[in-house]
Amino acid sequence: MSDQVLDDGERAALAAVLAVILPSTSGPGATEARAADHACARLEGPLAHRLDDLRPVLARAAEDPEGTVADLADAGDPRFEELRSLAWEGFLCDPARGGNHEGVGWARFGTGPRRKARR
Amino acid sequence: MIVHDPVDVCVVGLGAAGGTIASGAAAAGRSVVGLEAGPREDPVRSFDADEVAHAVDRRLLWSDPEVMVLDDQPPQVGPWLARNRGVGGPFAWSGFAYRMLPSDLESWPIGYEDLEPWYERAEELLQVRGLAGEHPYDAPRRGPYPLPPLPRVPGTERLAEAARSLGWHPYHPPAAVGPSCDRCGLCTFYGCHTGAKGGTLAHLDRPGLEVRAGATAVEVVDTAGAPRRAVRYLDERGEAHEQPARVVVLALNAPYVTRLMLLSGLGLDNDQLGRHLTFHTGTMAWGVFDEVLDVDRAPAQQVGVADLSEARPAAAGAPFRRGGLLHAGMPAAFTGGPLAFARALDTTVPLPEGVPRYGDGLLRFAAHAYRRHQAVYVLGEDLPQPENRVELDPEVTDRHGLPAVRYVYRPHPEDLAQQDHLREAARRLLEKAGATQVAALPPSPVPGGIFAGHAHGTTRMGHDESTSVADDVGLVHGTDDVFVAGAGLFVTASAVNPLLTIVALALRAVPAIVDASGR
Repeated sequence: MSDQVLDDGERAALAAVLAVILPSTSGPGATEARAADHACARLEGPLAHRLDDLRPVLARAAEDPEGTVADLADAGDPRFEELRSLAWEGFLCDPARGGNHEGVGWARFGTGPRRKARR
Repeated sequence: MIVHDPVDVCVVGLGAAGGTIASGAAAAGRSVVGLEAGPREDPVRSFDADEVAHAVDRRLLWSDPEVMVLDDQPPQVGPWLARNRGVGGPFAWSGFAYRMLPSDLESWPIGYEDLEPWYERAEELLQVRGLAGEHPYDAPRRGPYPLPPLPRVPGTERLAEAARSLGWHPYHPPAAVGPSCDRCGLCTFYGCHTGAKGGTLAHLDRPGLEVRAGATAVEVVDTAGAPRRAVRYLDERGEAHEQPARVVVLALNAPYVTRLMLLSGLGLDNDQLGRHLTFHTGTMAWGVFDEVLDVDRAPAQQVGVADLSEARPAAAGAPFRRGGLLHAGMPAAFTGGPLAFARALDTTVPLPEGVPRYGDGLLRFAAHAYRRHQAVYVLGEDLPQPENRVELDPEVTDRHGLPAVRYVYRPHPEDLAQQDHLREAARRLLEKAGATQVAALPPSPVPGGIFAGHAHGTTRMGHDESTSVADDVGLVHGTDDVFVAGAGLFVTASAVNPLLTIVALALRAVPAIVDASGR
């Protein structure tokens, strides 16, 4: 088993991928939500078993995040859906989980928590 | 092996069926042990609105591997069947509480008149809401529902109006949602923070009933002693136990009753065990409207349409015998909030044409559509076929090393035609209501009901011992001390959610179980 912790380069590549999936073009996106903080916590925690499969993607994304995401999506690669799911999580999760910084994702969707999460 | 003192009744599985039977047998004075593989949680105190835990990680569902052999394709490992984990299972579901109809029961060994008094008791037990006589296709009733229907959110009222304009008869779907509901909309997968969806939980704290959570049954054994039966199970630490009982009731989800019987050598006399597996057919369409609708600010039971159910489409010339129900409101795929909604896009529900799969276009669309969407989803009857069945997988095992459930399934050709018909009806309803962007699920051989936890048959009831597994109260043929409970007994699936029929059948079985355990 490889290292269960993302290094700085992998963290930056992951943040870049999430920003391609949910960009800040027309309002807050993955970057403003700090979605990568949440995604890193998930990948170093309950989703650590997925790291080996995702590391080659992050390695390529460090050079070309746009091209990497486009190729994964075009190829129907299941890692595209996996990364897109992490982007949504980081954008819309309860802020206590590390993403959705100051509720920017909820604000963009015009909503907020209906009940408080227990974290 | 820890061997416990014998009891009168050992119930395996404490969901809708098992909880009802365990509670009923204890109320009748029997000593009862209830074994439940999942935890025992207080759905009110343990309620958590965290979308990652519930809508993403599905904390309240089992994630054990299951194998699907679909249409003779190579096996695919999932979890497939959405199965609640924990004592009082139904509290984490949406709470649809339909009666089956007389035409649903035509091939059953019991008719509607046999079930009706038990339906009435089940509705009282679950505090079902509805409006008697609201539409011409409702089940016959002798009295009103225990509670009035849930009020609709304004966004779904327009779907009811659209249905009327199409000549249909919209109604308030019956809902097992008690008076404490505050319409938070966090139902399916979440438990209930007010206890309005308590299921059978409130009835499990009674003298004579011991609940053992974290207990996974692995075999029912013949002790060759007295009592003759015992259930072997593993506790959370993996330690083996044996619980002797005068009567054993297998009240797991249908495929897991079959697995336990196969592992125990029960019900093997006539090659019926595991067969006639049915789910429900399922499909959906959804659309985006110009106005804010906020349809997720209420339980799912908003608008029902039964005009295309039973044999009505066939009577109008459609190429299938049994139809299905349309429901407008919030489907399980969207339950939770914005995260559940966004994650479902392009995965469990299709994007409207022209919406990109990522990037600013997707984000702008999702942010706009979240509060303006409405779905129409379909639950259709899945015709029983003997070749559709549950087996033990020869390779894949669960966390205890037990063989995984293996589904062998091929959709009936009529069911595929039915889905096409109902999908277009759902699309038509949305367009009539004014949706500006509509998308519908593509045709699929995967039975949609599997994602709602609706699995029926495999231990069917019947008077003819050569074509069934149990009698009409669930007593397994060839035994006098092993009962089956739950949707495994269903002869046909109908087009309605199974919860109320599961509880009605369980209530009906209690006197027989009490009697058998007192001999």
